[in-house]
Amino acid sequence: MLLAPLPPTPPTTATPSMTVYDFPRESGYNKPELDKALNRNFRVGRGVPDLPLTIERINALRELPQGWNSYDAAAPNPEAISHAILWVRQIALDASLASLRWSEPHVSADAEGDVVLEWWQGDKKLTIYVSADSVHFVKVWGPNIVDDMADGQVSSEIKRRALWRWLMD
Amino acid sequence: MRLERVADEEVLYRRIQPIHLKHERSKVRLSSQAFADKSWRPSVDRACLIGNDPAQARQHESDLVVSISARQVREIHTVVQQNAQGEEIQRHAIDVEPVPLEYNPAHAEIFGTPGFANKRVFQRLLERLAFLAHFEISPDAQR
Repeated sequence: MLLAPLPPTPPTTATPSMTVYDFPRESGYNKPELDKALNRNFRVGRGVPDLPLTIERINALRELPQGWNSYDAAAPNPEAISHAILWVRQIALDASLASLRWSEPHVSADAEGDVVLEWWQGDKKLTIYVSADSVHFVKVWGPNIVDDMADGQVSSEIKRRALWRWLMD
Repeated sequence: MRLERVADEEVLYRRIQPIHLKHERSKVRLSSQAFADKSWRPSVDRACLIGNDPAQARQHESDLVVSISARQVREIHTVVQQNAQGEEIQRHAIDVEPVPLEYNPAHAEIFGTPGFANKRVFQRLLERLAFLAHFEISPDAQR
């Protein structure tokens, strides 16, 4: 069967406010090609974090009812969940841009409805509390609560990146 | 055994959920949220008042149970509240006391003295409690 030729495509001109993505035209949307392009652009390479699983786990917190821990825990706050999804993507990108290894966090919630992300790395542990409008951390590197722990607010990108570097160094 | 005070040698049970476990290749980690509590007074059950049977601490079949001794709780005597400059402004003793409920006479609560002024101090305590706890009813035991 012969197909009629397509009409000529008008030339595209890019304006300063417009971004043109050079996808292979002959294949239309091609996910492997798109992933390659994204990996090149974001320099994540082979260590692409398995974020779909992490995000699925964070989203699953929406199903937890009040009292889910069999005590008095509040249901996870939907705004904290949305914030946590954004935040974990940011720190994963920090890791890849710094060529640091990424590992999936353990995902749970605290009794007040904040999202809790936890990583164990050797003798170090990092716990992140994500509320609707703020992020706090607890760093642990030994058993002593005074000398081997630190906590604070993750109030800037620099602090966020420093946390991951501390964990993976 | 006197019921008015939790003796140092008493074992305390805490119900936890599967979401509190991080499965790794050769071990299972316990999340700091295993002892999370809205009022910053984690509930536990006194083992001696429920026949030293951790299964009695469960509410549902899916509940898991960890334990910690009262002595271990009281030895966490260095929870510190710091100001923004990292200077120590308050030191808390950690204790456990009976808080019997009508439906659960074995109920007790872990608390700080003086009471915690903010959530951040309590979050440090959660890390320590999770580190000290060990399994009584583990996921393997349930299978």
